[in-house]
Amino acid sequence: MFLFLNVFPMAYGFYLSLTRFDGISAPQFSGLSNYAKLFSDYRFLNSILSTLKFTVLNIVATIAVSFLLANLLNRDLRGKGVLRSVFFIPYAVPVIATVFIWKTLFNRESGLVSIFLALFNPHFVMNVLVDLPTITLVLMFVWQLGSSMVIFLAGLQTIPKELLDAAYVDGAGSSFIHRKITIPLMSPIILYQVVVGILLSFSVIVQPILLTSSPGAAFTAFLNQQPPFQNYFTIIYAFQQCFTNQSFGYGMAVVWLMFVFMLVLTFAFLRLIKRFVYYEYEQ
Amino acid sequence: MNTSSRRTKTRLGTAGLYVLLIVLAIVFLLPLFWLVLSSLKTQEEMVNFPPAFFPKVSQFGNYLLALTKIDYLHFLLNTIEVCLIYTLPGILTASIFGYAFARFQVPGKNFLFGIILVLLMIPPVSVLLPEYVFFAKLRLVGSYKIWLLWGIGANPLYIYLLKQFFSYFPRELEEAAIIDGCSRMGILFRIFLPLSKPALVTVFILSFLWVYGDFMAPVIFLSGDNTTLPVAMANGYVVRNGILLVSVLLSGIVIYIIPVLLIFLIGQKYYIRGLLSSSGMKG
Repeated sequence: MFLFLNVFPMAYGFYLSLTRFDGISAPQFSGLSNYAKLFSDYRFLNSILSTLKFTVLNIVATIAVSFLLANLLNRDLRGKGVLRSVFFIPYAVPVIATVFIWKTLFNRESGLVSIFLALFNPHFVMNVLVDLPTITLVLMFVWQLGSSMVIFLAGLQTIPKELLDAAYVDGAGSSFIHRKITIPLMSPIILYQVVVGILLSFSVIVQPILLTSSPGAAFTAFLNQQPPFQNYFTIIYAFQQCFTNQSFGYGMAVVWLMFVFMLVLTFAFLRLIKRFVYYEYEQ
Repeated sequence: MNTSSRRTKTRLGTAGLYVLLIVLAIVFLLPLFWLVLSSLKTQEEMVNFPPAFFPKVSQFGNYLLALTKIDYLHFLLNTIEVCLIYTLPGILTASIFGYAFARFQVPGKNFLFGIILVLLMIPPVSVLLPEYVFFAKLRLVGSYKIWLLWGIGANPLYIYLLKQFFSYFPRELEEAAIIDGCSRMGILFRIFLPLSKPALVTVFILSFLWVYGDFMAPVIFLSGDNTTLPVAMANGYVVRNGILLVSVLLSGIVIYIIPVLLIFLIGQKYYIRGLLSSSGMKG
């Protein structure tokens, strides 16, 4: 049953990716032609590029900020628990709420961001949502960094205090301690975060579509919305091929090629980083 | 550097740290605060430039309109129904699978467990595409049976979580039970599950909140009266000429996220435990 419901759909998807299938009539086997077509499909290639850009920005920003926050919170402070909850809570906000909060925040006319921008330069009006769509999206994910902060925090608590004390007594400055102790000891966790970050960034679909679709344009046609090209991610392309374009075979091929791309990316990263990661129990 | 100057430096450092943390905390809470403020503004205030920080007169009527413009209660009940249809069988099957993985010695077990780990690396949204074709064939589109099937199919993450938890139980516990004539299933239901309340609460919170916040699956599989609250809200707050009632929508969202934030704050301990053990650290 488990295999049936979890593995079968993916295998079925792979089979469909080898066919021409409109979702109604029977799929016709067409070999690898869908995949061949993908390599010259500029919309697909662009979408991979946008996704990659977003993935890198998202991972770097989220990890940097959550690592910093975890470090700040990992001290003997009063009210630490409350502060931790404050930083953690955005993570719980459901996706639809986050998107509309963000739309209101970055709204050109009435958004909080406009108020702030006006403080610096009253004549400067910028529609951040339209002009910097990827940045807006990344900021949204940074806001929801709760889980990665908590994981870092738990990791930091496993660093033996004696180690830090010893370094401190020896006159090591905090930047030295970070470079030589904290970051190396945290490297397996950073690695984990990057791998999960790749996975999460490639599954982002609702946010870019809803963020930029014009208000009132009925969301029943949700999948027909066109996000700006910077936020036109591969998974959106796959869904539009399937539902808007009625070519399920091609859409599945997009998904499968995306998996391959993700795998390559993950392994390339693991290869690259292997030397820098510190494991306590090395064989 | 003598001791006293070092101490003042630390004290200044602590004060600076507090200021920094409090500023950051305010930045993290601002979006939620802005959501509440915006939900109390009039439609005109939402589109006027320059924007005002506070609403002139708090429009509590927005909340009333949010509850009546769409059949809020009906959609809320739909959402809760879907959540429970998924969560309850999901916990049951995940604990059976978790138990099997933690205790049974059968050939191919490691291979199956490997599949689970691979499944954790697949973006969940992309599985919706082949599943759509598949469920359409079974004529299940539009029915909550899909969530029942997903529940029975058990989420790999929850299996993994429970398996980890069960592995810490001492074997003597079961041996004693077997001598007393307890069956395998009896061990799971009479001994393991009562002892695993924290893990079960974790899985319950994780999966309940996941379905409660999910947007993609209901958009694809449900429609009209059948759908869940997030989709109904995204579609519903439009007046006849296609204008979105922004602040009414935001009021609806405030009501929608209050239970989430409450569950989250109360169950934070469990939630964090779930996150940590899914990242391979003991929670």
